[in-house]
Amino acid sequence: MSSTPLTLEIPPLPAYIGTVRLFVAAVSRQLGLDEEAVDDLKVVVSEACTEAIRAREQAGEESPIRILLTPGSSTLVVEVEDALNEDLASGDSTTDNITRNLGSELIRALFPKAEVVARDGGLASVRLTLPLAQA
Amino acid sequence: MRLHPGPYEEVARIDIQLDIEGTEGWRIVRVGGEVDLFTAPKLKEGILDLLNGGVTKLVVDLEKVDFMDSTGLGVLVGALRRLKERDGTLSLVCPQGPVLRVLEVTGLSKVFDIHDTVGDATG
Repeated sequence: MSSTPLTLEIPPLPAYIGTVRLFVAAVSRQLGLDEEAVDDLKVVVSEACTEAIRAREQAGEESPIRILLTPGSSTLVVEVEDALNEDLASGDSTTDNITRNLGSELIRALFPKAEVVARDGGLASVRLTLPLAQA
Repeated sequence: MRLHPGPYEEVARIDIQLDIEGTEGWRIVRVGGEVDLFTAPKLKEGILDLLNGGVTKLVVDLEKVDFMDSTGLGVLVGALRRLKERDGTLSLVCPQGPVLRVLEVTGLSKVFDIHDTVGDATG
């Protein structure tokens, strides 16, 4: 199976988060993920995109958000670039923003092995590696 | 694939449906569709209108919600807080499905009063 990433790039606007979910769900179903895993993946990707939009709003940036799906022979790697601010990436829960804490909690609860990859500019990407059923 | 910004009405193909009705002192908000950063404000507005109008017994029916993330959960937690401040009641209708799963993994299933049907919630 090809390891070329399938990439979706969206403007940092809330209206596009649903499109990201459709994209991620379609690809992951095609690769054989069960429906529960697809549902969990949709939640985590939605949370990551929500944070990516908020991070850009706070920074006054309008750079697009990239979502990369890389299918391998036994895994699917999902990455949302520049999705988290450093405070969330480091697990700092000092903010009293209930919704943002819930979002961070959802990512950790649904994918405990989610990787947070630091990038330039105080932002970090979220990377998930999901096992694929062997043919 | 790169998507470019366009008018909201062109990209807003996913939206929630909000129907409000009343029965025996309860107000029931029936929600359908997907609740996320884009659509949660509509849910919040609908609920706030009721709370600002003096409603203290509220049911939010999530049976036809296909997807909800933390933005939707935040709206529900906010409503619960507001109602508790005035000794009100918030019940959720949420049978099996992805919404119940996010309520469970966040521990909110222990915070909310959750029922399988509207009848159970108002009974």
